[in-house]
Formats: sequence, structure tokens, C-alpha cells
Amino acid sequence: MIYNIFLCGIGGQGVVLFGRFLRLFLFNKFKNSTVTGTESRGVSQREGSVISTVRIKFSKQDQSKNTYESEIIGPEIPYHEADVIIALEPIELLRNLNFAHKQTLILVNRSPIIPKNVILERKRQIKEFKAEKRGSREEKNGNKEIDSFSPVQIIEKACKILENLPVKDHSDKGEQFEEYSRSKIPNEIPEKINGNFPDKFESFKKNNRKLKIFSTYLKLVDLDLTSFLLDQFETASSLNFVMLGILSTFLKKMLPFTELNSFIEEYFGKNKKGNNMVKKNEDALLFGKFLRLKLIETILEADADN
Amino acid sequence: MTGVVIEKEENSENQNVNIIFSEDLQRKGKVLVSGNEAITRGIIESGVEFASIYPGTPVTEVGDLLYSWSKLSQAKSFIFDYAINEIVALEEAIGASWTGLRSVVIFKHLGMNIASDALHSIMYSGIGGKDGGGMVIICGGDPQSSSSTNSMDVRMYSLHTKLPILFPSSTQELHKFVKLGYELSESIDLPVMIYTTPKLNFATGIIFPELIQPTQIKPSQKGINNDQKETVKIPYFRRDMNRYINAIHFAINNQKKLLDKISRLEGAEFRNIDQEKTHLILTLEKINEFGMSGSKSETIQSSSSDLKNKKSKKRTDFAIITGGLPFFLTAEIISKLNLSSKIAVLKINIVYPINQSVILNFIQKHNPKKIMIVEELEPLIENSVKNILYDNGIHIPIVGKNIFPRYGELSPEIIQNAVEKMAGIEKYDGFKKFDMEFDIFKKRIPIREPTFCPGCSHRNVFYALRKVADKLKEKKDIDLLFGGDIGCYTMGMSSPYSAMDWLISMGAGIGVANGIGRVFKKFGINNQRIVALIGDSTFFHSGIQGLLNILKENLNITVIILNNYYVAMTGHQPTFTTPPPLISNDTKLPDPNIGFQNKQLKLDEFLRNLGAYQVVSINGYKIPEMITLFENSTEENNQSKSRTKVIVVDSECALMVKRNIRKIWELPRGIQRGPEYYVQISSACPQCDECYVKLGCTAIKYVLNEDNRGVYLIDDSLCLREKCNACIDVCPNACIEKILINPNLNKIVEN
Repeated sequence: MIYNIFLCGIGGQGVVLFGRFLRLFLFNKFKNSTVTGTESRGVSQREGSVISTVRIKFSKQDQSKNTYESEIIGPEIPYHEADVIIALEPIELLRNLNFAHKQTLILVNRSPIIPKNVILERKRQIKEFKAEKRGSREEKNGNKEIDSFSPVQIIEKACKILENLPVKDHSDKGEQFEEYSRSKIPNEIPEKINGNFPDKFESFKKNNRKLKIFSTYLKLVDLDLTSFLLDQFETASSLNFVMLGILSTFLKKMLPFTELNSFIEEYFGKNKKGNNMVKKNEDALLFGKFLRLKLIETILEADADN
Repeated sequence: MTGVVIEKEENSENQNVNIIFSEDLQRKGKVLVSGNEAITRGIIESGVEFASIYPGTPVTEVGDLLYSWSKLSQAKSFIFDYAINEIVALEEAIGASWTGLRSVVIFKHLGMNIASDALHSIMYSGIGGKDGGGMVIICGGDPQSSSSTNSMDVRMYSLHTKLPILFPSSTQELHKFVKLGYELSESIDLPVMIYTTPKLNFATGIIFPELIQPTQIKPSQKGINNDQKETVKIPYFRRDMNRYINAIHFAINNQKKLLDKISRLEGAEFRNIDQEKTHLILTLEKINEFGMSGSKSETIQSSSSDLKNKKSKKRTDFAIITGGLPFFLTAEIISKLNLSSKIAVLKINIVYPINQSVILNFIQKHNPKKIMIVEELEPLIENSVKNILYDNGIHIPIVGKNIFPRYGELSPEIIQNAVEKMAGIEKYDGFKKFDMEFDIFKKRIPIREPTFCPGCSHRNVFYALRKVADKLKEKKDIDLLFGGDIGCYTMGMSSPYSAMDWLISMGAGIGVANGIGRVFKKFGINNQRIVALIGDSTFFHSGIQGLLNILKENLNITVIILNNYYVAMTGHQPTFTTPPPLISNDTKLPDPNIGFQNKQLKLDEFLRNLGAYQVVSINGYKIPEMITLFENSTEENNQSKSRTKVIVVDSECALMVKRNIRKIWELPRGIQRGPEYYVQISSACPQCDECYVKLGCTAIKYVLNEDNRGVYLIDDSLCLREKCNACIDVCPNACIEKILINPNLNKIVEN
């Protein structure tokens, strides 16, 4: 059984680092399994599209012995075989939707980073619109739905496209998949997150009420994460750890929260000097778990409404 | 700031040491590494003592890792060089092999074009026979042309160089094949190439590390080690006219020897290396056992008598012959489609020259009705297999490049389609509706064009060039032509700068300008003027010759050398203009000993010595001055003694500047910091778009303010602040302000 995690975003957001961290974590946790993956490079800090893949093949036999090739598993994820898609930027999610199947769990940060050419085009259109003062804006925009600044429109477009996925597809991965696959929502509400940590995010709670699920399969962290996190943590990688926190509550068996926490300490404690970095990443992870709590509350509310 | 040298704290050395350098790594059993790390570990384990590289994606990282290795105490006799170009890298590596050291040379596929001149004759000479050290060439291809100007199939060189090629298919094999490469190299007395593609270099996978071998100096001479006062083996060049001189009859004799060696690899007399290691037949019934039980898959018995006796009764539907990364993609697909019992797969590990008995045994065993060959780019495996089958009177239909594209990487989807078609199974079409809709939709998703980093001085140069070009066009109807070259500044081709009219190869910006300039001179063409652009490392790699050739005839060409002190695009490898590092003893790049005679070479002085009369050096952050200078240079000036103008834009790479600023900020208190202010766009900004569009700095963002109106703001986390100030210079409305961070602590020091 191969479990595929697909990461996408833009250069500088930490997509490559996220992928490496995840691979190393899974490799250390599942000693008997094969972990692989690949990444696109060369556009870091230059705002290009970046992807990273994480693939793990679970097997019951012991693989610790030196075998010539332990598993037949390539580094690339074929189309429609990603079991989790994590998009750090919503336009990049649109670009990579063809990796999804019907059971894919999609986590997306809805703060778009609009490409400059789109902004310029949009500005020009508005200018023309003002100058001409006739014709509706919709006519001017024609088919360019996603040229809009609105993240809601981007996400709604994604949902609309995902509706075309076949209900029963070929990614039936059997029992083991169920075991490691996400827990069904909402099975249980996790115990209250330790301490008064969420108080720190009281303002955040007020301003971002609408944690929203747009469709059954698209689980959306409907928040302006990027700017908020930069305020709180002053580092772009915090976004990755928030996502990791949410993911760990979905994939309890694969990414146990406490193990993740200690692994972060080990990984970043060794590589970066100073523990400040580690502390911030742990906080971000905890915040991700807190968001998951809010997500489940929202689902329960929605159920009650129906 | 560059004057500050900071002593690094003690015992910080161990902090950044990569896991692959650890001596007792084999005790861990298996480790997770990237493809390039796997190659590096293979090199270290093989006891290699000499490495040279010219950086190029996807193999640059191997060089950088070996550089770090050379700085460690356990590698004290390891010799490492960032060479001036690929041919020098290759020549120095073979020199080391001839003195008995194991050597490695690393470059990308395009580097082979530069190095191949020497390689053809090196193949005649070999690695030095019994006295020589093995030599491996790590060569990374780029089928997708993702970071190259073409995607040529470097394997095809072997049709005339006769260079044997190992073709690894996984991270594990990258590690194993390097070690195997040295065994092969020393057993047949030839250099050996390891061919990889970016997907594999950047892939992550497990390797099973082994012990690091001690130095592999071939005993040529016994000497006394100064430190230990004992007899040791030391390198020695053994003269051999027949071997090393490729002229007159020597050359043809050596060519015959080379052909003999290759035919040994091709033919039955294939006994020098362990076959079990190099060739694997993978029968698909065993695909699961292959991995799960850890058993070695069936290996070939390559004696010809076996071949005759074996008669397979069962006919396989079809067989696949492949190699490299496509093997893994194919195997995964076959396993997924449950076709293991129907299809046999052969993985070729040595793609040049392909051993006859490997192919014949495979055919004999499975007796396939047809054969499909899965490989990227050119049909090297396909043509070899066809030759072998024809020579042996076997007629089986072969499907290869007639269905697979001859360009680009093979994706799992392409291979899956082919396998499904061949196996005659119906394609699952549940995704058809989705894919159709998505294909239409995807075309409307905006493309993200990569651009210069925030604060990059190249951006200022291209901003100035665009200004000058527009002005000359408008006022004097003069058309400026821009010769582009390979490096970060290649991104000046896209909007809003659009200052690139050709992009061919390293040095071709100046090279092509030679021809156009001569034509313009002869025909007296004046309404088109040439500006040739080149970076510092590219200039040393292959720009000097082109420039000298321009200076020879004093052509009316403006040559702009964008000197950012590093091979910046591949990750700041040092070049001749690299300054000494800010922090001494830094195990990361750059190293003071790698510059030119341990100092930063002054490019303008160097150019004057070359015979360029008009050399002007200018700071890349002085935009108004640059505009004036470019304008003066490109306008016709008959009074001038020299018509060829050389402009050196001197500005350290912005990423490096930023890193150094961070290092300064991390300093303990008491050490003087520079002036600190940040730059922001004031609310008076009328959005004239000069900074956002025409300068195009990525630190300037268009965001919605509280009133839901779009405004321009500077993201301070990206801004270079006092090190740049470019947007302040270009703003015609004086709306960009310097804001003091702590007015009591620092005063703004204006230049």
C-alpha cells in the first residue's frame, strides 16, 4: 500500500523543507517501510511554482537488512493518486488538482499570492472600465474567473472542478489504507489543548469565524493564515507547522502529535542554532491542532443546522 | 561590512556537518538521503581523493557536498577544485588518475560539449592502466530543459567517445553504481560515466551505507611520510609514450585498444566484473518478492552454452526493456495493473555498451511476442537492442520511439498509456470527464514567471537598459540588440525588461555579437547597435575568447559584464571575483583559498590588461549613473579611440548581501552595526507603477488596505534596505521613504 502526500506552493514558502521534514519523520517512524519522494527546485525566493512529493510504502516484513532494492516505488505521484494534498497557496492548488481522487484530503491556506501579471491585467481592466464607463465588469472580465482577487472564488472553482471526480475510482487501497487514512470527521473532539495556549489567539478567533468546509472532500482551513502567522511567528515556515498540526489530527496513526513535537526538537535543535526556532515551530504545531478543533466544531454546527 | 571578519565560535564545526560524512554510518543500517547525497556518499566510500566540478543543475550539489567534505579533518588528503570550465575539470581529473588517485569529475549534460574535445582522446589513453586510479564522470541530464538551453541526450556521445555509461534507476543505485563505476573503470582501464536525470538527483530514497574506504592511491612509488616517519605509497606519474601521446601511429594503436576494451564489454568475454551486481532480470511474477522478501532477483547465466540449452515453452505476451528512472515508473505501473504474470521487464544498467548476452538470455527465457523499449530522449537502448537481435537472426517486433516522445521526461501517465495499450487492457475512464474539464481550465491558471530576487542588482541593470533602449528608439530611431547568456541575468528576457534577443549557450552572447558586429561594420549599419551581456563566471568559462575576438577588430559593441562575485544561479560557488568570506573558518562557501591566488580578482584591471581600452566599472545600485553610462556607450561616438566599450557592473549577489546582514545582526552586542532603517511607500503614492511594474522588485507588494483599496507596500522581510535603495531612486514622486528603526541608536549615513 502506497500512501501519497503532495505538497505545493510557491518558492520561499518552505515546500521543499516541509517535504524533507515529513519524509524524514515517516522514515524514522516506520522503520520497515520505504519512504521516497522528489521536489522541484530552482525558483526558491523567486515566487515560482514549487511542488514536493512524499510517498510511503507500508510493508509488514522487516526491511532493515541490506537488500538490493527494497521496494518498487518511484519518486513521482501519478495523477489522481495523492491521498493528501497540502497547498500553501490556493492558486497552486488549482494547478495541481489533477492529483486528487475522491478520497483525497485537501488542506489549503486560502491566502492567495496573486501573480504580478494577473494584478497588472486586472488593474488595466479596471482602468478601462472606469474610462469607458459602460459595459458591466462581468462582460469585461469574460472567462477569466480566477483572475479575481477573491480567494473564495478560487476555492469555489476548485470545488466545482473536484465535483467531476468519479465517485468510485481506482485508488481503492484496502484495509491498510483505512488504518493509516484520516479518521472520519467528526468522530471525536480532541481533548482540550493543554494550557491556555489558545488565549493567545483570541483575536484570531474573533476575526476568523468562518472555518468552513466547502464540500465533503475539500477540508478547508479558511483563514488568512500567511499574514497572521507572520505576525505571530515571524517566520514563513510556521505555516508548514500549522498545516502539520492539522494533518496530525487527521492522520493520527501516521503522524502522532507528541512524536511530531519531539522530532521537531531533535531535527531543528540539531540543524539550527538557538532554541527559539524550535519553540516557534512547536507553537505553530500546537496552533494547527487548535485549528483542527475549530474545524470540527464548525462541522458539528453545520450538521446541527441540517 | 565586507571588511569585518568574524571568528567563528569553537565547536560550531560539527553543527552543520551532513550525516553522509559520518564514519560509522553503516551501523545505522539504512538512511534516508537525496539522490545527490547518495552519489556523494558513494564517492566518499570509494576512497576518491580528487574531485573537480563546474557547477550545473542537477549535479551541483554533489560538488558542494564534496567541497564540505574536503574541509573536514578526516579528508585531509582530499583535493577539491571548482574548475574554470568543464574541459579543465575533466583534464585535471584524468591527470590525478594518471598519478594513481581515484578521481571524480562532475558536470551537467551541456558540460559534455565543452569537455568532449579532451574526452575523445582521453578514452584512447585510458586511466593509466594498472598504475592509474579509477575515474568516474558524474553527468546530469535535463530531458525537460527545465534549467538548460537544450535537452540533448548526452548518452549519444558514447557512440563516438566509447565512454561506458552506468544508468542508475533509484537513490540506492546512485550510491551503489558510483562504487561499481570505480571497479569497472579500473578493470577495463577507461573512465566511466554515471548518467542521471533531475528527477532522480532531487529524489529522496534510502541507501545502505558502507564503510568509508581509506585512500585508494595505487602504489607507484614508495616514499616517506613526513608526519609519521614511515614508508607509505605516494602518487607518481609513470611515463608511457605509447599510452599518453595520441599522435601519428600511437593514436591509431590506442584507438584499436579502446575498441578492444569496448568489444570485451559488449561481447561474451565479460568476466572482469561481477555480473550479479550489474545486471538484473526482473520477472514480473516476482515483482513483489523482489522488494518484500529482499531476495535478489534472478540473474543471468551468460555463457553461450546455457543459452542454447534453455528453451522456453511458455511465450510471454510482451517484454519491456528499460533503464534508469523509467524502470521504476514502469515497474510500479505493472505492479499496479496486476500485469506481473503477463509482462517481463529487463533493466539495463550499462546502457553503453549493451552486453549481448544480457539481451539474448532475456529473449531466450521469456520468448516474447513483442518488445517495448521505454527510455527518455534518443533511442540508444532501442537501436542497440535492434542491432543485437538482427545480428543474431531474431525477428521480434519492437515498439519504442514510434510511440514514445523523443523529447521531455517520461511521466507515469505516458508509460501507463503505452503499457495498457500493449497489454490490450481497457483504460479506466472514470477520470475522463474530470481530465477534460481540467485541461481546459488549466490553461487559464496564470503562470508564475520566475524573476530576480528582491534587491538584485541585475534588476537595476535591466531597468536601466530598458530605459535607454526605449529612449534611443524614440529619439534617434536606434534599435538596441541584446545578446543574452547563461546565468541569473537570463531572467532579463521576460517582461517588463525584455532585454534579450538571443540565448544560445555559455559565451554566445558575446560570440554571436562578433558576427553581427562584423556584418554591421562591413555594411556600415548604424541604426542597430549591439549590447552583449555576460556574467562573471560565464565570462571566465567561455566569454574571454569571444571578447578578445571583438577587441581584435574594435567592433562597435557594448559588452556588459554583470559581476556579482559568485556562480550565483547554482548556489554561490566561488569564482575568480569572489571576495574573502565574512566569517573565517566557515565550512560553507565561499573559501578564501578558492579565489584567484587567494584574493579577489579585479575584473576591470584584468580587462585593461586584455587590451580593452574603454573599461568602466560601476555600482549596480546606482541607477541614474547607469542610465547615463549605457546611453553614452551605445550612442555613436566617432571621436572615441575605442569603439568597443566594456562595462563592469560590480555588485555582490543580493542573496549573499542579505545573508551577511543577518550574520551581522546575530553578532554579540558591542560590535558596530551599520545604519538601520527600513523603506516604505507613503500613503501619498499615486500608483504610477514605476517601482512595481517597471523596476519590478518582488519586495513591493500590491495589497488591500483597511478600506479595501489596493495599495503598494514594501515587505520589509524581503527588502534589502540601505543596501539597495533602488526603488527610492526610480520613484518620480518621492513617495518612498526611509524610516529609522531606532533614531537614538543610529544616524542615517547618506552616501
